[in-house]
Amino acid sequence: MPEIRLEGVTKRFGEVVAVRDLSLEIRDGEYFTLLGPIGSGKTTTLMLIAGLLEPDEGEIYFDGRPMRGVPPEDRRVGFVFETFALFPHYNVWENVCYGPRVRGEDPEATRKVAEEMLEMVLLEDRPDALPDELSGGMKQRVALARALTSGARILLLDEPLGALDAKIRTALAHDLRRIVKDLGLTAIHVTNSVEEAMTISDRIAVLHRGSVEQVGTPREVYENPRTLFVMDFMGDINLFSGEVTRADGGFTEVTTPEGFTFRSSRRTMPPGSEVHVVVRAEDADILPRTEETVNNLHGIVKEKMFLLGFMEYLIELETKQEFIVEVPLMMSERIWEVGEAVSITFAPEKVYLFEKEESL
Amino acid sequence: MPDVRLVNVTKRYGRVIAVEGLNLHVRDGEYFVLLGPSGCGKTTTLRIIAGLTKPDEGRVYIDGRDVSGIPPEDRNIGLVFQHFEIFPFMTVYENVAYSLMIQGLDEEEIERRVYQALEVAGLNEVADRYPEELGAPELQRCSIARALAKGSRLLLLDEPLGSLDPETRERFRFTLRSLVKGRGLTAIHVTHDQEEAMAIADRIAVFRRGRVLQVGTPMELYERPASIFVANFVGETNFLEGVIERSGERSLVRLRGDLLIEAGGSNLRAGSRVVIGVRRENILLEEGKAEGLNALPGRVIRAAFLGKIIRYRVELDNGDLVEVKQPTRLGRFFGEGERVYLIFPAEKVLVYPYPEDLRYELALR
Repeated sequence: MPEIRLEGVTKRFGEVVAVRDLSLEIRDGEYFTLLGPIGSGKTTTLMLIAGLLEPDEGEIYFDGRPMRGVPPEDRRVGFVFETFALFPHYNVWENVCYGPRVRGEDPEATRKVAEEMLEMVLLEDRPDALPDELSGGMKQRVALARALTSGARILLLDEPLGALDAKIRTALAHDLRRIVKDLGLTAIHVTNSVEEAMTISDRIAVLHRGSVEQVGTPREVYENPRTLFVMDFMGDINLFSGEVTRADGGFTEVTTPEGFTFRSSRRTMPPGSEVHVVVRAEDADILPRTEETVNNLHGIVKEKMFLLGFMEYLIELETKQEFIVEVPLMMSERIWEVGEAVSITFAPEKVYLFEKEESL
Repeated sequence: MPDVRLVNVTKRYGRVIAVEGLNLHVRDGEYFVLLGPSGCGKTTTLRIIAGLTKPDEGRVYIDGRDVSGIPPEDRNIGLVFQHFEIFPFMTVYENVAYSLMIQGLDEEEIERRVYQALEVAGLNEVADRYPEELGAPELQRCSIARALAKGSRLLLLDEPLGSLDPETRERFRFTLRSLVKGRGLTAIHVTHDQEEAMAIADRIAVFRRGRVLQVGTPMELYERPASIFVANFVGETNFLEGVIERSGERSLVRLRGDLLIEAGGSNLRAGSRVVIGVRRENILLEEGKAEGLNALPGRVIRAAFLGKIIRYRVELDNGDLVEVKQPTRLGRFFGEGERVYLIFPAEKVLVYPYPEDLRYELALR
């Protein structure tokens, strides 16, 4: 049921505009993520939705109903934070039952819901454990169960996996998504981790300086980043600037002051346009030195680093600029060594162009 | 110059053995990582090298010299810890200069060394700031600068990136490694984070329960983990139970539900109970079953598009679950519910004896 709409929401703290004319629509039953760097306004947006802050301008609607003046406790939202915020002297069961108990709800009904939620978060056999006896992942599952026993239909999660180890993080991300989907909740999740957002979300809003840069499924945002900021934020990129020197047959050719020539089939732009050219690390390949000049850059391997499943190379171009390439090990015929002379190549559909007025 | 050698080093605390019969050789100029879960003895080992802990047995050699009787301050090593141990009432400059002043160097020499260290650590612009004005990455740079200013050729780092947020941590790996490499130092770095170890190290020693299980380059540990513990701890691996049908250069393993899979070499007897290990990145999803390939049928139950990779969870027809991380470039996107074949290149399938002691950790039955 719960569908959430933000219309032209602005929130200032003194001189600082934390959220600027922000509009968003979060669908019923959706796992939605607000993704952005520190200071992009994502946590403020979450607090506005929760009712912990009131917008200076604009309106927030739950199921079409304006929320201005509705206090947090009447919005039926559950909260999960990065730090677990459990009562240390209460055991798991007492923590989970806390909300309904202080509200004086029927103990029998509370017991049933609490049991169900503990089962949901796979902690049904640990009701007597104190928070200190649990791992970080388990504590966060208790916090989640507690948020859910209050009967929340909307789950707001602020960096809920931030304090956990990498391996646990992925496992818990899957659990979170499963629970939200099984219970038919609407979830809004705040994070600065791209991988986390991509793993868990139905749709993502990328935030930058209090505004939404792009909304879409993980795949849409990755494959068609609307701005240079989104492209940069989503992963490792190589950035150049130049001028469009030719545009025909669906190709746009860009020449840079260093003398590089890029050819893109992603977008047509008129000759003379000043543009940024971007190639992702994982969209480039390394070859033995070639004579090619279009979509071919020449350099020396300066660093190589082993990532799980990929080799990452730092190539120093003849202009002393650095270019990052990531090659899947499954398709690597050989490993390139530091000091080798190589060429970097990439397909025209992997050359992204952005108008110059945009900068990082 | 500095190479470090540990010979038969043992350390006990009461009845608890922290490290046992440890032999290690860290080469001159190497970036060496001690990797393992907490309580495996990696920090004790670092402290023994530093001289902060005295071994019960065995010897430590730095540059070929037995350092047994030499106190930490005379070992010419730089120490960097997770918590920065910076004096809050001193500026960055003063913090870095402190130990040089104690050594009684003349002012000019101190200034020269401090500024050089600050520059290398990328801190010259904040030399006059106080620690409270700085973020965690700068503070950690400050403790590194301090170690560099002392002129230490051997750097010992205990979880040096542990206090940084994940994104900064990733960038700082590069910084740390190029600092060490650029100055020809030797570094010994302790971490429990395998991703960090893989990214930063020339070689890694994997610890478990006070012993070294394997020493190798990141690539060697990844491609040829000598034990199932290493295969599990380094990287992300699927483990499936089976029985050896035939062994040799290529072995044949019968998995649950009578699925047959060709695997790498094994000399275990036919009929032995085994676990096969396959890296998540070493499996491909295909629509059809090509001839002569190791292809197991299954169904996609979760697909997540992560950009450069797609993460799948596939349920094999025998009920076993397999996690796959496929580079996006290597095939099309399969949706949830689609029938697929999982392709396992035989040489990437590792065979281990059934590990009773890791049953729970590996979620085996």
